[in-house]
Formats: sequence, C-alpha cells, structure tokens
Amino acid sequence: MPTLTNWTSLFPKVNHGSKLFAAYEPRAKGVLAEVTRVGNGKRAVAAIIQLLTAAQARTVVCVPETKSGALGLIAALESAGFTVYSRPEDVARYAQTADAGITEMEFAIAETGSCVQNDDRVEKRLCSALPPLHIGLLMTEHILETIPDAFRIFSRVFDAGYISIITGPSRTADIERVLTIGMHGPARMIPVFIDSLGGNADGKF
Amino acid sequence: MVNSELKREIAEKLQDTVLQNALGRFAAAYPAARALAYANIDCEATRDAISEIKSRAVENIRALADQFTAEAGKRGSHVFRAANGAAAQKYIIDLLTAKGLRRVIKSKSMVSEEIHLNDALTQAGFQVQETDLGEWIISLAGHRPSHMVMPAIHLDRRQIRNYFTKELNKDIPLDIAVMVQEARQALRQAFIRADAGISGANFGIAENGAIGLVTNEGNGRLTTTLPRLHIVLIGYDKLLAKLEDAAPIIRALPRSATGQLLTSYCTMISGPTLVPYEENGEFKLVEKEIHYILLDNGRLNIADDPKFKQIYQCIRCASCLNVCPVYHLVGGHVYGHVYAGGIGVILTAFLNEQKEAATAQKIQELCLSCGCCKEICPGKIDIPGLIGEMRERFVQKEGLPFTLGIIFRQVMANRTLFHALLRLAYFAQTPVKSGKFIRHLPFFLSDMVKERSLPAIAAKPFRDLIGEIPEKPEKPRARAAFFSGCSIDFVYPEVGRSVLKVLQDLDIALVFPQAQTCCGAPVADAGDRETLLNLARQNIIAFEQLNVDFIIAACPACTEYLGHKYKELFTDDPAWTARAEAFTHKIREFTQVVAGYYAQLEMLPPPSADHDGIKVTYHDSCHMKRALGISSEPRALLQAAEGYTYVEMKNADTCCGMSGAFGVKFPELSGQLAQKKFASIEASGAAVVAVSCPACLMQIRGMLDKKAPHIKVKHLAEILAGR
Ligand code: SF4
Ligand code: SF4
Repeated sequence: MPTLTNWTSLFPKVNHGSKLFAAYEPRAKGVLAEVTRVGNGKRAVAAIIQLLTAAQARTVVCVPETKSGALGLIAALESAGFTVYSRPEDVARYAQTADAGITEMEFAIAETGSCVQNDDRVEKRLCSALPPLHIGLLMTEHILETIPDAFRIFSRVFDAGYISIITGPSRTADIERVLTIGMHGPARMIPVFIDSLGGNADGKF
Repeated sequence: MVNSELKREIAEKLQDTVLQNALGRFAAAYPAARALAYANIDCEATRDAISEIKSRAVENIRALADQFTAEAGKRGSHVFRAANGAAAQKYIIDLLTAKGLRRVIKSKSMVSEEIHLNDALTQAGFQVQETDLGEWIISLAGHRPSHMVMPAIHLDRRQIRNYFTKELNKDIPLDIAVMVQEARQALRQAFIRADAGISGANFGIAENGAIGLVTNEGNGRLTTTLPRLHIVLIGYDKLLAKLEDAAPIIRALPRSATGQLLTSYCTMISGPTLVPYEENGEFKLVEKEIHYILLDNGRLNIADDPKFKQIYQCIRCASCLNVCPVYHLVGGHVYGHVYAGGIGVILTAFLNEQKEAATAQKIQELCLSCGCCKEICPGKIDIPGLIGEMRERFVQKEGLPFTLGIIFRQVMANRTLFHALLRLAYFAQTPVKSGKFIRHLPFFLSDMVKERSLPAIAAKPFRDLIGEIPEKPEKPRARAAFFSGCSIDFVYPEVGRSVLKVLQDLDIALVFPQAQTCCGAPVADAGDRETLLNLARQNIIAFEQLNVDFIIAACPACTEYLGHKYKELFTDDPAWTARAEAFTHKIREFTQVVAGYYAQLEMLPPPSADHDGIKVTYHDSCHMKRALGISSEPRALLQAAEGYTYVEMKNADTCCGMSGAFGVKFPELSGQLAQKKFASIEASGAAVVAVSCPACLMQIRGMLDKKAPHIKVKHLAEILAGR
C-alpha cells in the first residue's frame, strides 16, 4: 500500500476529518489506547519527549517518514538524550531490546478506535510490534468514520504488501477471560494526533 | 441411540467444577457484551451482508480459487492446493526439509488443528511452538481446544500456573498479569529464533491474493514478520471475491466473538516483504517466502451441496457456542473433534473426508433445536436446520434404529393404531403411576424413557371430550378448526378444553377433525422424512375440506411444522405443494389469534381466579419465540389480566431442556437445564408460571412438582379461560 500525505483526497466527501476525533477518542480510550492530541509539530515533539521521559525510555527505534522528517523528530530526540535507531538494519537489530518504537500511521477509524498503518516496510512492523511502548503519529484530519469506509480505500490502494489496523495495545483474555495487556505486542499504544505539522503554537492543543 | 461413551463424557463434564464455573460466568456475561459491541452499527444489515457475500462466494468457489491462486502468484506467493490433511502435512514437511528449516512458530489456526499438523510436524522431527496464549496452554496440557476462540476456557489459573511451572521450570506466582509476562518472555525467544511461521487466515481475497489475520495478542504480526518463511493454512471457505467484502466480516467477527469492536490487530498481507535476518552477528533485511496452502478436506464437495453449502457462511466467530445451552453445560471436548457446538457438529461431519463420521453421528444428538445460535450467527446459518438435515440423511443412509423404525413407520404412520396404543397406555401405566407422573411409559417409546419420569396419559383424550362439550356460539364471528397435537390431545386434554372455552368466549366456532394426527415433529427430529411426509399428508387431508377461516394450534412446535415446514416438504410434487400451501396459509398460533381479537374487541383477559395480585411470570418456548417470533403478545395478555402481577424472570427465553426427544435422550443435561429454569422461576417470586407450549408445560411441571409444588405452571390458554 502506498504511503500518502494527502489521504483526504481518497476519503468520502462527507464525514471525515478532525470532527470525527470526538467519536474516535472514547472508543480508542475504551480499548486502552493512550490517545494524545497536539496542535502542531512543535508540541508533538515536546509531547513525545515527555512521554518517553515519563516511561524512562532510553533506547528508541523509529522509522521516519514524511511527518517526523518535517518535525526533525530524530534530531530532537537525540538532543534530548535518547539513543535513536532508524536505519532499517539497526531497527532489525535493536527493536527487540528498545524501550519504545515510533512509527507514522495513515489514518484512524472512529467506529472502532483504530489506527491504520501501512506496514509494507518490515522495520515499521518491528518498531510497532516488538518494544513494550509504541507511539504512532497521525494527522487529526485523517480520521474516517467506519470500517467499510476504510475498506473502500484499501480496495483502491492495496495491491500488494502489508497493512495493519491497530486498536489499542496487545491483549489477551486466555486465562479465565481476564483482560491482560502486553501479551506479544506493546503493552502501551499511544496514538499522537497532530492538527497541523506547521501551525503556530497557540492553538487549543 | 445415544452412545454410552458420550454419556460418560457428559457425566464427567458435569462434574468438572472448573469448567462449570467458567462456562456459567461466560454464558452470563456474553449477551450484554455482544449487544454493547453492536450498538454502533446495524447488526442485522451486517449479518445480511455477510450471508450474501459468502453465499455468493460459494457459488463461484472454483473460479475464486483460480483467481486467488493467480493473483497471489503474480505477487510472488506460492499456492498449493491440498486435497486433504495428509497432502497439506506432506507439503509443509517437504518444504521445511528442503530449506533445512527446523524451528516453527505458529499463530492460531483452526485448520491446523483440523489436520492435526502439530503432531505430524513433531513426529517428523520439527520443533513446533504455539504462540497464541490459549493454544500454548492447551499444548502444554495436551488438550484439544474447547472453544474456537478461547481454546483454554476450560482451565483455571491454578491449573495453568502448574503447567507453566513445569514447562518453564521455575516458580510462577498465581497472578495472571505475571503469568502473561512469563509467557511473553518465553515465547518472544521462540519468535526470535524461529525459522518458519505458520498462520491461519480469517479470509483470503481473490482480487489481489491477500489474506487477513485477526488477532489480539500480536502473535499473528510477529509470525508473519520475523521468520523467513511464512506458511498460511486457509480453507476454501475463507475465500472472498473482493477486498471490500471483508469489511462486514471484520466488523462482525470481533463483535460476535468476544464483544470487542475490533481486535488489537487486523493485518492484511499480499506477497512477500523483507524480513530481518541475522548472520554472524550482522543484521540485514532479506526477502521472505510465502506459501499458501489452500485446503479442501471436504470443502469443495460441500460447495456443491444445496443445503450444506451454507457452512461457507461461517466466519468461525464461535458465537454459536457462546449462546448454546448445551455447550454451556458440557464445554467443547464432548464434541469429540476440534470444532465444538452446533456448528462443530456439522463441520466435524464434513471437514474430514468423513474420517470423523462416527464422531459426527455420535454428537448430532447434542442439539435442542432451540434456535439461539441461528438467531445470532453473523453468517445467518440455520445450524439446527442443518443438524436436522444431517440426521435425516443419516437415516436415509443407515435406516432408523430397529425399535424407532417400528414405532414410527408401523405405529405412528398408522393413526388408528397409534391412538389405540396411546389409549392402551393409559391402562398400562396405572400400576406404576405415582401422582400425576409415571416412571415408564409403556412399550411404544420404551428405550427412550428409561431414565425419566413423564406425565401420565389422560383417562380421556381431548378428541373424546370434544363431543361432550355443547356447541357454542349460535352466530359465530369466525369459524376455526383446532389442531391439538398429541400432547394436548392425550396428555393435557384440559388445555384443549381451555382453548375451546377461550375461543367460544370470543364467539369463534371450533371444529375438531378426528382424522388429525401427530404433526410429525418427533419423527422429523429423529430424521425420518418418510413418516413425516406420511403424517403431513394425513393432516392436510383431514383439514382441507373443512369450511373454516383458519386453523388454530396451541403448541408452537406443531404450529411451526404445520405453518412453515409442510410447504417445503413436497418439493418434487407440485400438486401436493399447492395443497400444503393452502393448508399452511390457514395456520395460526393460539395466543396471537386471541391477542388480536382482544385488541379488536377491546376485551381483557378474565381476572385471576386465585387471590388478588398473584405474581405470574412467563417462560418463552424456543419454538414460540425464535421460530414463530411470538414473545410480546403472551406478556401483554398476562400484564392485562386483572388480579395478576406480571414479573419477568431472568433468562426467560432459555430452553427448559425438554425439546422433543432431547429430554429423554440426555436426562442429565435436560435436568440441568430444568434446574437453571427452576432457579430463574424461584428468583422471580412468581406463584404461577405461564407457558405456551405443552412440552415446556411437561418439563416445568415435572420439575416444580418435585421441587416447589406450591408454584403452579399453566398453559396460557388455562389462564385465559380463567382456570
Ligand atoms: S456458525 Fe455462525 S455463529 Fe457459529 S462460528 Fe460460524 S459464523 Fe460464528
Ligand atoms: S439450536 Fe440450540 S442447542 Fe442446537 S446448537 Fe443451536 S444453540 Fe445449541
């Protein structure tokens, strides 16, 4: 599946975008996704540094694409003292032991509180599957209403490759049906929604 | 007849308190969780979409398989079409051997269980590691899965802790979060070391050769991301034409399975991508290989079967188990193979090249035909209908058991003889009669009823009484005929009298054709289509010449047969089909007729004959509620009846456990269901239980007579007749 910056062009005319955040958020929180929303790129970087610091993370694996590139995320993390690996071979080596993984995601689905990640690149999967903490970057305007909306888009753009729809942290209920998080994937899943990559720093978020 | 080994297994499961507690808690929690999950989408539209999409897929299954194979090939995946489990096993073993790969990890796959892949791989010298927590637990325990979605639901944390302690060779505390962390660490190492990953697939897409995997734990993603070789086990029944077809399935599967809006991970894969690979301490990314094993194992044969092709509509959500009263009591292992519950009975029979035919035959009796599964199945599969069809085909092939053959074909098919024997039964039972109940019905159903008390045959059947009741009314509002059914006729003639009174009070003239006979439900239940046809013809002939506006039945099972099933019986015979349609067209259920006239005439039911404010509750018959769709009218009538206070019992629509021959075949299970019903009735505080079905009347009265004789159970007709 291609990674697009203008997903909106494929979205249904009505019912998409940041107005669906209100519908998305409670559903995602309901499955223990730690939903975060920021007004602009600067605040996104600050929020990520704060999250990693609070989690006492030291090593981070990250696959920069368009959003984090624009934010200068890796440089910012490094200057904040984190060790960051982002070359595919390095991610392959360090993802198993890293404290956190950061990826960029394509769009969210309000119906189920989910985030869609183009996972053609194996290093993205490693970042979002192996560490105990996964942070995913999304644009707030990239929210769809329903699962069928998402599949209509997949059917236009997914020819070959790998797509993941991620809904909260890894979980199991296989012992006495007691919900327990962090089975094989991350125990914490933090989608960070960015209203505008540039933008000024004075917005609500 | 019911196999003694099955009976022994059932007895064992009823004693297993861990299982009983787990299933009891789950049964109580599931319906609300499911309802909540569906709250934000249109459940019925989703079910319609799935059954439509999947029934379209099966019509085209060979073309879809060709397209899927071609498209997957174009994107670099290999497809092997395996005729059966042995062929699939051999392909996998040869592939792993040729590549020199030994360590295999697996994410959950029912197909792998179906073909016993783990045993085959282990015997061939490969290391096989299940990674789904539940599957891992049962592999440590050496058990088969007892539920398609929650394979280890039959075990508790203590038992699991002990398996972990043994496997990991260290002390594990009795704390689920810690146990899960221990499992994560142990299995993570297996993932990192694995050479090959085997997964199932929740669907396969013909238009782009993709497969989809739905998991919560994240093992599906790791299995398809870390090893260099990915083998996918997928049945033909999982193929869909288009990617968009997967949307309703993705919507329904988690909602129906576990009450989640979506599982944590839903992945779609088409064609190989890179994988991480370590060589001499160097990490690099290398190409992987994907091999799809498209498994037949009986599936293509079913695709051609006009009835059983429905099983392609199954999305393996297991919600049919989640609502099945029989599964709630016995769990999954009793079903003998890997697929449990009602759908398990059917899958076991067909997805095995008939290898499990003996098992299938053994378990086909484990269904009450209560319809709970059919009502919620996201693929809209008529599970009880298919189980009935299985029994019918079995009888066609193997014949009826000897005594049943005599009872059905020589006795029941001959009304005069059948009724003469029923009358004789009244005299034969006298010496062993205790109160209203006797231990043994005489000869004609003898081997079915050994372990169970059944009600006494009445001294005078309704057909004799009706002649003694003066004809009313002079100027009838309508003319109706009454179909009593055997139970009202020979066991509960007083219910028949009440029906008559209620209708006469409404100025409806009632006739009772003496040539009517059994509706055929019991013989159909045992798979005897021949006798069913014979009885249907007799009844049609008995009623078709009457000049009546409609035909009333006060037994929902009879109503279902007369009103729905008769018209589907004579498929090859247009003349009889027309006669059957004219007949079924006139069939009405008693309660609905009465409720309709009361509303039209602005009448109220008669006041309670007992003391004022007596509490009454209502038990839904399975046939009444789920086959006929009648549940509000009886309640409304009871609520309107003066002198009664209506109270709703918990789980009012759960089967009482009688259900045709089930109650006599599995007295232990039937007794447990009756016990649950009793607990609900008692908790409601009602002094009167109203029912609309003579079979429920029989079951509930039998139980209340023993446990709480002060609580009365009455057919609704009796209450409406002021009795
Ligand atoms: S038969 Fe229906 S309810 Fe049962 S597993 Fe299949 S889809 Fe689910
Ligand atoms: S009809 Fe009832 S008893 Fe039979 S399989 Fe379905 S839920 Fe179970």
